[in-house]
Amino acid sequence: MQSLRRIWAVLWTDCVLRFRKTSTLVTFLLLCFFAYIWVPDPSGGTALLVVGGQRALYNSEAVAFATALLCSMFTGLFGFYLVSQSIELDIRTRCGAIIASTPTPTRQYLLGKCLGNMVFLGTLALGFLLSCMAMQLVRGEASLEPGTFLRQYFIFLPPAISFVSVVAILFESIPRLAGKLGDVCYFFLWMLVLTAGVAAHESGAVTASSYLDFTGVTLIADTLGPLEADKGSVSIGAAPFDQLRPPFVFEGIEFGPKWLAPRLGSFLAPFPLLLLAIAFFHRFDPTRSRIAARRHRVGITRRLNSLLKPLFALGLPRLLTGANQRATLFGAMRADASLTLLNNPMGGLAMALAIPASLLVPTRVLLGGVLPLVFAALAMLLAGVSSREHRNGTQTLISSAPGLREHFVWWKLGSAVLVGLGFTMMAIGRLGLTSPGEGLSVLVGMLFTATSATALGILTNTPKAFLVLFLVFWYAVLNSGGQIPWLSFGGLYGPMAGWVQALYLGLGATLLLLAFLVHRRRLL
Amino acid sequence: MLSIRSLSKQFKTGNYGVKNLSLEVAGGVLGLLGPNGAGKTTLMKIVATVMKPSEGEIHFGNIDIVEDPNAIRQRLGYLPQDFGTYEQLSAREFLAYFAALKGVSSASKVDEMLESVNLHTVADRQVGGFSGGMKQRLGIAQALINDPDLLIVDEPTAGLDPEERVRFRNLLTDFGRTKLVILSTHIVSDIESTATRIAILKEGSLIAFETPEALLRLTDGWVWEVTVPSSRLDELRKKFPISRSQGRPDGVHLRLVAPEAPLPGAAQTVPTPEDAYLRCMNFDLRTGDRI
Repeated sequence: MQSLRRIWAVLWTDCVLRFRKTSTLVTFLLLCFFAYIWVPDPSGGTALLVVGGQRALYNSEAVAFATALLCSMFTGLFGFYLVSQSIELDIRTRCGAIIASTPTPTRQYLLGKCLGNMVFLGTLALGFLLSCMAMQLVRGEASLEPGTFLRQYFIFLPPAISFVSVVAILFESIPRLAGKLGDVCYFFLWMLVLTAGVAAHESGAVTASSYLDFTGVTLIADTLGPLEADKGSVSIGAAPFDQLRPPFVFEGIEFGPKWLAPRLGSFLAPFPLLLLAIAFFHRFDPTRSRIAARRHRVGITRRLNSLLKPLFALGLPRLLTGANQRATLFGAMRADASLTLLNNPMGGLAMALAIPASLLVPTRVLLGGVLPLVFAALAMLLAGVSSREHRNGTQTLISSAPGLREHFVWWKLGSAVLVGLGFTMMAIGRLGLTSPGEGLSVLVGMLFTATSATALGILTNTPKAFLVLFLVFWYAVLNSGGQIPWLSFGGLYGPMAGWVQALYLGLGATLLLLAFLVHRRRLL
Repeated sequence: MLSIRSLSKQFKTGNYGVKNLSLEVAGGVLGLLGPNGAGKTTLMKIVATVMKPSEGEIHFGNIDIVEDPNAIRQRLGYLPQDFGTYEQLSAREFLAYFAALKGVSSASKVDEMLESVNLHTVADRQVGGFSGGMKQRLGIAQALINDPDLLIVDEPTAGLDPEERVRFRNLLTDFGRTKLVILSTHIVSDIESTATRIAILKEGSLIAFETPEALLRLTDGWVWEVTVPSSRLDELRKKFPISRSQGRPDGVHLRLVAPEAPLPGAAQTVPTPEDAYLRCMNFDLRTGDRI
C-alpha cells in the first residue's frame, strides 16, 4: 500500500507539473492543428489516405486508422523529446537530493516517473484522437463511430507509448545519455526500430519481430500491403489524389486474436529495460553522476576536447572577439560565439576543418560531401546556444550586462550567425564566384539554421526541440536527393529556387518574431 | 547517538571532500562551521545518504547508515543547500508529495506543518510566486514532516529575513531538545544561539569539536581591541586575523585575534564565537602557532 502511494505521488506530481505548463497547452493546440491539416477537405485535391492516387472515403475506419498511425509515428519520435526531462527537473531544482534521502526505493521512483511519462503521452494521444473525431464530424463522409476510433488507437498507440516512456527513463538514468548525445542517439534508435520492423516483416505472418513492433509497422504492412499491391503506393496525411477517380472504402485493421498477443507483447517488451535504468540510476549522488559524466568523455572525445581546448582558448576565439572589447552588441555577439567554440572544442575543430575542406575539395565533393556534414555539425553546435543561460541559471548575470536583456534575441542570433559564417564563409565565397545561386543557397541555408536554432532555443528553453526537428528535416533533405523542390536545401542539390529561398527565410523570420514576442513577454 | 568513525570521501580528482573525520554526538544541535570547500556539505550529504563515503563508518543508534541507508531514511529530515521547488505546485501539493515519499500517511500533517512554518494562508498558491524566504520555510516544512529523529539542514537561514531567522533558530533549538540536528552555516551567530556542539572543518578535516563554551574558553586571552591609523591596516591584516574593523575619527578601531598583545595599548576583551572561529582557523589549537 505504501509502495502504491509513493508511485502514485511521483506519477501525479509529474503529471501536474507537466499539465500546468504553457508548453503543454501549446502542444495540445499544435495537435489540433495537425488534425486539421492531416484530414484536409478533399475538394482541395488532397486527402488523408491515398492509395495509388485514389483516396479513401472519410469513414471512421479510414480516419481512425490513418490518424492513429500518424499519432503512433509522431509519439514514437517526438514523444521522447517531450518527456525526457523528468529526472533532469529533479536534478535542476535539487529536489532530487531530498528524494534521495527519503525511504522511497529507486524502483518505485523510476516506475512512477515512467508511468508519469505514459499518462502524459496517453493524454496527448487522447487529445489528438478527440481532435480527429471532431474532424470526422466536420469533414466525414460517413457517421462518426467513437468505438472504431478507440479500437484503432488502442491497437497502435500503447506499444509506442510504453517504448518511449521506458527508453526516456533509461536514457535519463544513464548520465552519458541524459544530454544532447542521448537526444541524437534516440533519433537513430527510433529510425532503427522503424526500419528493422519493416525489414523483418513477413506478409501475413506473426513473427518474433511482431512482438517488438512498437510503431505498429507490421500491422500497417499487413493491412496496407495487399492494398498497395493491388492499387499502388500509399500516402497518408494531406496527400494529393486523382479527383476523377471515386473514393474507395477502407475497412481499417481487422483486429482479431492474431494480433492481440503481438500488440500486448510489444507493449510489455520495453518494461524490462527499467531494470537496467534502476541499475544505472545515480539516485542524485553528485559524485556518481559526475563520474558518469566524466566517463562519457573518456576516450577519444575527452582527449580531443582537452587537447583542443587550449588551442581554441588562444586561437580562433581571439580572432572572433578581437583585441579591444567594448560593451557593444556586436562585441557581445563575438564573445558569445567564442564561448560556443570554447565550450565545444570538437565543434571548433569541425569548423577549422570545414574552412580548408571548403576551399580544396572538388565542387562536387563540396556540395555532396562537405556541406551536408557542415550543416549537421553547425546544427549540433548551435542547438544549445540560445537556451544556454536558462539551463545554466545565468540569466540574471546576463540581464545585468548592458543591453543584453532587451536585445537577447538579436544577441543570440548574431552569435549563431557568426558561428555559422565561420563554418560556411569559405563555401559561400568559393561557390559565389563560380555560381552565385549556389553560394546564395548556402548562405540562406546557414541563416535558416541559425535563426531556427536561436528561435526554438528561446521558445522552448531547451536544445531538444531544434535538435529533433533538424534531425528529421536533415534526414528528409538527404533522402529526397533534390527531387522535392522545397527540400532542395542549402545548395546541396544546386541553387535553391527563389520561392524556396523565400520560404526558408520567411519561416526563419517568423520563428524569430515569435521568439522575440515570447522573450518580450517574459521581460514583463 | 550519531557516531562517525574515520570517515573519508575522496573524489575521482584525488581531492578529499572529507578526510579521516571522527566524531560522536548524542543529541542537541551540532553546528558545522568552516570556509567554502571545507567539506560541510559533503559530510551532510554522506550522513543524509545522498552520497556514499569512500571509507569509514557512520552509525545512528544501532543503524549502520553506510550499509543500510534505507533504515535511516525513515527517520531523516534533510534540507539541502540552495534547494529549489517545483514552481507549478502549490505549497500544499509540494508538501503532500514529500509526505507521501516519506511514508507519512496522515493528511492533517501537511496542514499542521504549513501552519508551523506560517504558510497556511498561502497553502494553495503556486510555489513559483513565493519569495526566497517562503520557499526556504517550505523546505524546512518538508524536512520536518516525517517528525525525524535526525534533521540535517544545510545553510538553512540563507534568504530568511532577520525575524524569520530568529524563528527558525528557535525552532531548531526546540527540536534539538529531543532529537539530533546537524546544522551547517557560514553565519556564526546562527550557531552561537542554537548549537550545543560545534565542529569546525578545514580542508575536509575536523580541526575542532567542542561545546560553544569550551571554544570560547579556548579563545580567552586571545582577543584584542586596538585603534590604529588607517595606514597600518594592511600591515596588521597580513599579520593577524581581524574579526572587526571600524573607521573612527581617531583611526581604525580593530578587533583581532592574537596569542599576545599585537601592539602597545591593545586591550584584551571578551571573545565571541566569531573570534573563536578565527582562532581555530588561523592558529594551531595545541601549539598556538599561526597556521
